[in-house]
Amino acid sequence: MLLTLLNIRDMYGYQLSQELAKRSDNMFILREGSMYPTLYRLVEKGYISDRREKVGKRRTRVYYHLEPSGLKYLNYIKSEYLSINEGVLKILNYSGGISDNVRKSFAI
Amino acid sequence: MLGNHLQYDLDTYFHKINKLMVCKGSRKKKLIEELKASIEDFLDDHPEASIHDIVGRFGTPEDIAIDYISSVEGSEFGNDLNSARFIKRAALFVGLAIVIIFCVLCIFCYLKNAESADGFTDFGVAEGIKLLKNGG
Repeated sequence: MLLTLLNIRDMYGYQLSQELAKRSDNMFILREGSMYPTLYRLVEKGYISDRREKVGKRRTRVYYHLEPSGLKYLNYIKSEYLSINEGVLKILNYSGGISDNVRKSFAI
Repeated sequence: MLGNHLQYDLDTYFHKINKLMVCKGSRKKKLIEELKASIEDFLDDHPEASIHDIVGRFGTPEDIAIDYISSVEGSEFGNDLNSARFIKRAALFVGLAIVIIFCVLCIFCYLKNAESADGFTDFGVAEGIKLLKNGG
């Protein structure tokens, strides 16, 4: 989810958590205590990079940027997620546990 | 510009986070720095926010520490914990070594002074006896 947001544009920490909440209609709330370690791990793996920008007189913001290897990884995990999702929906469909509306929206 | 009361509350908040976080110093410093920037951004959007609003949005210091621990990989957390333990043990060892060295030095100085004092006393007594013998 963080990589998806960074694919749109470079963002800083607070902006990332706000965008995540806004785009998911507050379904996903990622607090800074969880978000920053994840971002640092992504930086260590080279999927994203960070840069410091001075804002005003005293504040420094850290902006995160998606690297090409990060985009590659994002595309990979997206396809993995969609495959798993399709499989789950097929099982639900098989056992009759899926509504017509959901079936139509996922084209099963 | 933050009010004095809010600034004091925020200082207390960050002090608690600093105490509770189990991670390397550089990582802790970076995280707290970014958290401060995020809170400043939040206050830009909500200028009348109180410390309760900030805690409601970002979590208590305990929440932040727990969120951090649950987000790091097991091996990474293990390394951070071992580093923290190592630093504490090393500091204890160094402190103990300093105390022992200080005690040894004190004992050494005392014994050296005691030796010198005994010599002086002996000299003083000998001179006294000599004077008495000579009738004066």
